[in-house]
Amino acid sequence: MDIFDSLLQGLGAVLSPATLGLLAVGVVLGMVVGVMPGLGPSAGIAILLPLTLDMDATGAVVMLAAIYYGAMYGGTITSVLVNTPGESAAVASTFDGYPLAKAGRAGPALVLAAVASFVAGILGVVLVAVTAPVAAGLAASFGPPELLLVVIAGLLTIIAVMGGNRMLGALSALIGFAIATVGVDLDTGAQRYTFGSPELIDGIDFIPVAIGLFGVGEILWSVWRGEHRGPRASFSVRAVLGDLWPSVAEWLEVKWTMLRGSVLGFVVGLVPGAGATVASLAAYSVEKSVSKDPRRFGKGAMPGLVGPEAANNGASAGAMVPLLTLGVPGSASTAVLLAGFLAWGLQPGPRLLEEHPEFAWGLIASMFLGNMMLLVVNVAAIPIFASIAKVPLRLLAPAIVVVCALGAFTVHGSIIEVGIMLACGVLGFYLKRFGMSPAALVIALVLGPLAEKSLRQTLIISHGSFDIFLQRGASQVLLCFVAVLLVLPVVIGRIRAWQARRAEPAHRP
Amino acid sequence: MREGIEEREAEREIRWEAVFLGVLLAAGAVYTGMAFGMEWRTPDGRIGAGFFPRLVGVGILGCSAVGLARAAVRLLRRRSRARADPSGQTPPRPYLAAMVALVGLQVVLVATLLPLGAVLASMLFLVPALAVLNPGRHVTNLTLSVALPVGMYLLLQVGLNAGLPAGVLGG
Repeated sequence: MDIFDSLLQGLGAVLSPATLGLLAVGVVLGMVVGVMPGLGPSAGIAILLPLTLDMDATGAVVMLAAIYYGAMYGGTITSVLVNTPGESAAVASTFDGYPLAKAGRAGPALVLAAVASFVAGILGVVLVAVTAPVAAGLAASFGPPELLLVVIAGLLTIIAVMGGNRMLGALSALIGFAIATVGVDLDTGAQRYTFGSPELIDGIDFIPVAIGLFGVGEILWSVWRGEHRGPRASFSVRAVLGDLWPSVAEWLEVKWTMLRGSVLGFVVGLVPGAGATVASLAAYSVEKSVSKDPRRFGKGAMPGLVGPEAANNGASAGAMVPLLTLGVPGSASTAVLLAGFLAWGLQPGPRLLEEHPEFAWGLIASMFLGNMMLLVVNVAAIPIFASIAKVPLRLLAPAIVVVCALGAFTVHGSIIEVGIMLACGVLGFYLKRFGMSPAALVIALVLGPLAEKSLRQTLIISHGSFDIFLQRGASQVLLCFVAVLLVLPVVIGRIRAWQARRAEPAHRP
Repeated sequence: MREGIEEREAEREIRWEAVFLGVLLAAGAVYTGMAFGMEWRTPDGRIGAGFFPRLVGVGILGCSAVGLARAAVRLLRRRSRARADPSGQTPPRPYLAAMVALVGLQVVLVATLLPLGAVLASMLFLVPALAVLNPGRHVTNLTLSVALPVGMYLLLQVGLNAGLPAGVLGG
C-alpha cells in the first residue's frame, strides 16, 4: 500500500461527523488556551487530556493534536497583540509582530501568520506522510543501544538549546528520571519508592505531573511576578487589528518566506529535542539574512513574523515523525501527546504504522483537515480571540487552578494525584524561577521507562560492556551526535567569551 | 542607588536558588540512599531494581552539589560588592504573599475535594483566591466562583461522566 492509499485510508477513518466535531472543538479549545496568559500548548494539552480519556483512541488523539496546533497559533495572537508569547516557540513572533500591531497592522499580520501556519501545516503533513514510513524503516533497525542514545540525544538537545545553566537543565532531566522510577520494577517485581502506598505501586502518572508543572506552575510564576496586578491588555481590538486583509505587496513579500520557514521548521522538528523554539529563531535569522533591507527587522517587517510562524508550525509537524516512529517526543507538548497515546494503550514506535494504521494515518490525515479548520477559524474569529487575550490574569489564575485540580482528579479519581499535581505546581514554579527546565523533566519522565529498559537490554546484549556503542554503525553515528551536543555549547561559550574579551578594550575610553 | 538595589535583588535570588538546590541535594541523598538499599544485581545475575536509580541518584547528587557550589561562590562575590554599597536599600519583594496564599488555598482545595465535593470545594477555593487576586470586585468574583464550578460539573460530570466527587451534595 503506498503513502497516498494510506492517507486516503486515514482520511476515511477521520471523516465521520463525530471526529470532525472533535477536530473543530480541539482547534477552538487550543486557540482559547493559546491566547490565555501563562498557558502554552503543553499546559493546554495536559489540562484538557483528562477530557478525552472516555473517547475512542482515534477521536481523542485527533482532538489533542488539534489542541496542540490550535494552541501553537493561539500563542501568536498574544505575541502580536500584547507582546506576550504564550510559550518560547512564539518568542520570535514578538520581534516584528508587536511592532506591526503598534503600527495598526495587527489584522494583516495575524491573517498572514494564519496563512503561514496553514501552509507550513499542510506542507508538514505531506512531509510527515513521506518521511514517517522511511523513518519507521530506519527506526526498525535500531536496537536497545540506539534507542538509549536517541533518548540521551533528545534530552541533551533540549538542555543544549535552553541556554543559561546547562547543569541545572541536566538536573531537571534527572529529576524526571527519578520520578519515573517510582512504582514496581517490571523486570524484577521489586517495589521502588512506593513507601508502602498502594496508590504508588503503578508509578506516578504523567498527567498530574504535566498539569502541575505547566498549568499550576505557570500560574504561580505569573502571580509571583505580579502579572495579576495590572490589566491584561488595554488595546482596542478594532483599532489594533486595522484592515484585516493584507495588501498585495504584503502577500508577495512573504510568499517565499512561508516556504522557507515551513521546510526549515520541518527539518529542525525532526531532531528530537530541538523543537519549535529553535526552528522559529532560526527562521527569523534566515529571513533577516536574506532580506534586502534587514534594518526593517524588529521594527515591523512582515517576513520577520511570517518566517518564524511558518517554522514553528513546520516544526510541530516534523516533531510528529520521531514521536510516531521512535516514541521520542521532541518537545514538552509532544511529550504530553505521547502520554495521551500511552493512556490509550498505543505504543508509538517503528511498528505503529503497521500495527495501528487507522490510528497513525488517521492522525496524519486529521492534521490536513485540522490545518484547514484552523485557517477558517482563525480568519473568521481573530477579533473574538483577540478579545480573549484581554481577560486579566487575576480572574483566570484561580479559574485555571480549579480546572487543573478537577482535571487531575478525573484521570483516575485519585486525590493523591491531585496532591501530586499541586506539589509539581510548586516544583514547576521553582524550576522556572531558577532557570531549570520543566520540559526536560517532563520528557525524561515520559522516556524514563524506555531509557531504563534500553540500558538494561544493552548491557544484557553486551554482557555488561559499553563497547557495544562503538561496534554498531547506527550507534557510532548517534554517539558522534551526542558528543557534538556535549562539546558544542562549551565551544560556543568559549568563543563568545573570547569575543567579549576582545571587544572590551575597544569600549574602554 | 538603583544598582545597589539590583545587586541585593540578585543576591536574594541566588540565596533562594542555593536553598532550593540544598533541598534537592537532600532529597537526592535520600533517593540515592534508598537506591543503594536496592539490588544492583539479582541473585541469578540479572540487573537489579537499584541499578538505574543508583545512576540517576548519583547524577542528581553531582549536579545539585555543583549547582550549589556555584551558587555559593556567586553569593560570596555579590556579598562583597553589596557591602561596598552604602545605600542599604531593600529591593522590592515580588508578590510572594499572593503566591503563598494561592498555594495554601490549593492545599485546602485538595483537603476538601472529597468531603465537600467538587462544586463546594471549588467555590471554597475560588471565593478567597479571587478576593486575594482581584480585590474589591465582589460581584464579578462571586459570579465566577459560582459559575465556574457549576460549569465544570456540568461539563465533566453531566457531559462526560468523569466521576467528580459529589461530597455533601451527593446525599
